[in-house]
Amino acid sequence: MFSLKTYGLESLRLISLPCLYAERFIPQIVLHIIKHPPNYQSFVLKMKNLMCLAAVLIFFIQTAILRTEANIIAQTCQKTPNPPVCLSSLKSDPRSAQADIYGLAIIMVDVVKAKSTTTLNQINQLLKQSPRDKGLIDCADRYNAVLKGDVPEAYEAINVRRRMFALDGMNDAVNEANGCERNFAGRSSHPLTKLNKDVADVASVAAAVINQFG
Amino acid sequence: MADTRPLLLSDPDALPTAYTPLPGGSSSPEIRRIHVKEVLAMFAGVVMVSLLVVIIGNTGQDGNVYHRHNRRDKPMLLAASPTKETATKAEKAEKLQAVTRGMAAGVSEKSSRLYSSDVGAGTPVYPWNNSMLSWQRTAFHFQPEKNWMNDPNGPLFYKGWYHFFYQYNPKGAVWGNIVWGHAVSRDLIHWLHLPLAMVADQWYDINGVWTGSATILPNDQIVMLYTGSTNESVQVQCLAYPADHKDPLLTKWVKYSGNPVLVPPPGTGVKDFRDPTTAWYTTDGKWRITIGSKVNKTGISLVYDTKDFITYEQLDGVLHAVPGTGMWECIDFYPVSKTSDKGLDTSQNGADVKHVMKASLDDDRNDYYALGSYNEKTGKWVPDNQKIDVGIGIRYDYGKFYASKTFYDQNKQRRVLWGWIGESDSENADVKKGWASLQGIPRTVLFDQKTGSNLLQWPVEEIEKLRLNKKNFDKVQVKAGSVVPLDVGTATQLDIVVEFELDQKVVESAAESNEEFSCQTSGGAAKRGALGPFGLLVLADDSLSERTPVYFYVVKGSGGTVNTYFCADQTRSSVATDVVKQVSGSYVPVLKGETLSLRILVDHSIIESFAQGGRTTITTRVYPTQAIYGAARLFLFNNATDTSFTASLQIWQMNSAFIRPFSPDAASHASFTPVTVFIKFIVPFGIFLTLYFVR
Repeated sequence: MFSLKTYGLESLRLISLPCLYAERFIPQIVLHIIKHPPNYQSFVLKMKNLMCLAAVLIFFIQTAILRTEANIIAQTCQKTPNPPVCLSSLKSDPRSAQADIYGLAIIMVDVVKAKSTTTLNQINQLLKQSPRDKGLIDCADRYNAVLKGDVPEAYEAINVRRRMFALDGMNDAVNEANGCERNFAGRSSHPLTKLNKDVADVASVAAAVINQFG
Repeated sequence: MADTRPLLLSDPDALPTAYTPLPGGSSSPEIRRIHVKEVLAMFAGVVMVSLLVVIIGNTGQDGNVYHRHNRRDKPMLLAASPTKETATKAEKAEKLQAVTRGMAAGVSEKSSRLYSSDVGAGTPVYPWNNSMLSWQRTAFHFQPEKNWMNDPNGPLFYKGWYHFFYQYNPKGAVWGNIVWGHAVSRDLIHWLHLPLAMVADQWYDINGVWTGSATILPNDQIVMLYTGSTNESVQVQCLAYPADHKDPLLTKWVKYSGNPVLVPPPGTGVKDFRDPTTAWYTTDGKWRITIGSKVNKTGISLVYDTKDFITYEQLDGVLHAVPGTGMWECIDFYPVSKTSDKGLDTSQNGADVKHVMKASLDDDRNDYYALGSYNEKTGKWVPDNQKIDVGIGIRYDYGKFYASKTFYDQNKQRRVLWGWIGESDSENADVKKGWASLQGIPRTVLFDQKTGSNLLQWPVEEIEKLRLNKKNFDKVQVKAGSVVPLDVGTATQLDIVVEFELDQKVVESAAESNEEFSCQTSGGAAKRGALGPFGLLVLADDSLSERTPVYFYVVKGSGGTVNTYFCADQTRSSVATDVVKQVSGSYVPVLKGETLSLRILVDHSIIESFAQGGRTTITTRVYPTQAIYGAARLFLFNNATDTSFTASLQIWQMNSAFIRPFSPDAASHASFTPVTVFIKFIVPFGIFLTLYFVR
């Protein structure tokens, strides 16, 4: 959820603005009213009320806007298997503020691509030390498939709004990450566990976002 | 490259003759006869030699094509050294062979999971090697030489050729960069690849040349309507037609200059408007098409009339809609005869006719159809049974089968169904092997006159041309809880026809059960019941460590009714962990007096099975690692607890369809190139002469 603090501060600032302006212009308005006689008091009052009314309206409107934007992200992430990962992935990308469901999906695929690239780099590093490790070689193949097959497929499918093929790409990315992890089943600890889990997490979130296409 | 010019006696001095002029004498008639004989004999001999040369030359050429076909885009090698693995595998197979020949105790129970993670003994498995991946390619199913394919497009018959177009990615083994591939065949089985028919080269289809259908007008003119995804990802309908109607191969296509001819109407999402159907002719003298869409979660079919395929008027309302089914893709709408065994042209209607409405559901990736009646005046179709309406009732196929499309084959007066069969493995494997997806064997579609409530699908009869080496197995008795091997030789390319008879006494005395059976949740062929499962173990190895059961499961329901289910079980189809492992299938209607019958086409990584003459079908993709090549076997199995059965089988080996790129020589009996003339006319003459003179 967006923090109450920023919300409060933002709205306070916006409310105060029109009223400040109102204050500034009141002397000029008063002068104008003095030149053009009666009911200047009520007129001034009316103007002041109008200003503050405008302020309140703006307050509510921007609240609604902020809430909607925040709500798209919140609502979308609620329907994923891992809302915290979803929220942190989306919010760390400034584009998410203005994004529709397709934009959010693109952002998630970007995250999948980034994490898969990191993982593949790590695998290649490990391969330099153990170039004949069958598990590592298979992992390299899998992440290669994610980056050369799954991710481009997802991008293109999202861009043309074909949910089925975008899902194929991200679901397979989950499976490739899990497949790589299976290669090390039984080994006490190895450096790819967290990376594989990260990719599987973000890819399953990406799939869940894609699944929400209208 | 063989020299195809026959050697001719152009130079009389080049060859010795037996003629030496007698000194001072003119040749007598006798000598002249000898001359003629010998010359003819030598001519015949020369013809024979050149025949050999030509034949060898041609075979060499074709052989190269096949090798090229197989070796192209060799999949990446895995780390596992092939020789070591195959050695240990062979050892294993041999050892187990001694133990398991004959009756086994029945298959053990094991839990099945999608993408099972039980690797056993903690040893990770990296199964995919070159040999296993190459084996997966099919011998007689349509597939391009490499890369990704999906929906069938615009199938038609024209000037002696069956045409098939398909969604194709020229750049990789995953969906993307979609264009129209093209292939032709004389018989729906032997396909020849042609160049791409349409690519994404206009603003209105730059983001995808998607699915479409062909309409053949009465003057034999062909009109193709397809969906384009524009530069702004809006789905529009576009018109295309052959560049040269005199070219029977329809190699080149032209897009109408005024495209798109249809854009999403108001109220329709710009991304929910695709896959136009073949048009049917109305009594108003207009052509009518339907296009799939949705409103919220209701799948709908929009209707348009046109006279010229260029301007359209949208009809009010929809042809049909079903709430909760989501987007309707690849709609198909066609008539079937209630009384005849022939297919019907798409424009047919009448008292004798039922209309089939079909949709591919984007939400669950299955093809559903329903039978009903079409009222042309109201422009509406109404299902016979709302409970099994489109999207909530019968599926064409209970396995992997999507985006299917029929066409009316005017050549043989039948309705033929194409279906896209995707992969059930990981994209890693697809990228490695360099290709993904198949088309099912084309099926004829008929109204089931016996049940009146479903269609019958059956592989086109031309597939029988591939049958070789028939083996009969008459009345094989299989007791409860046993497995019987069937000696068929290589078991990777088979056509199996089998009939089962259960022990009627056991069926009658079986207890009634409240069991709500469903293949999907049944746990597969390992779960034993009184009257099932029983059937065949396809693509099994000797030790049964891998096998794909295709089987019946009979249940005695309340009131004594006997219900039969037909399933295919992938759960033990492979020891690989990243392949789909589901149990698929459905209830199959079995009428009184009918035996249980199955037809199974096995073609490497695809198994197509048809129950009760095609009332229920299941297409399965499997990726065994051991039960491949010469190690693949076929078994009968009976995992029921109470009943035995008697099975009679006819099993054929299946030849390859040699699907390859089109070349003029390959165009079979239609062509009269010098080579074929030489082979067919002059050579037999030469053979005859040689034999006559040589005696």
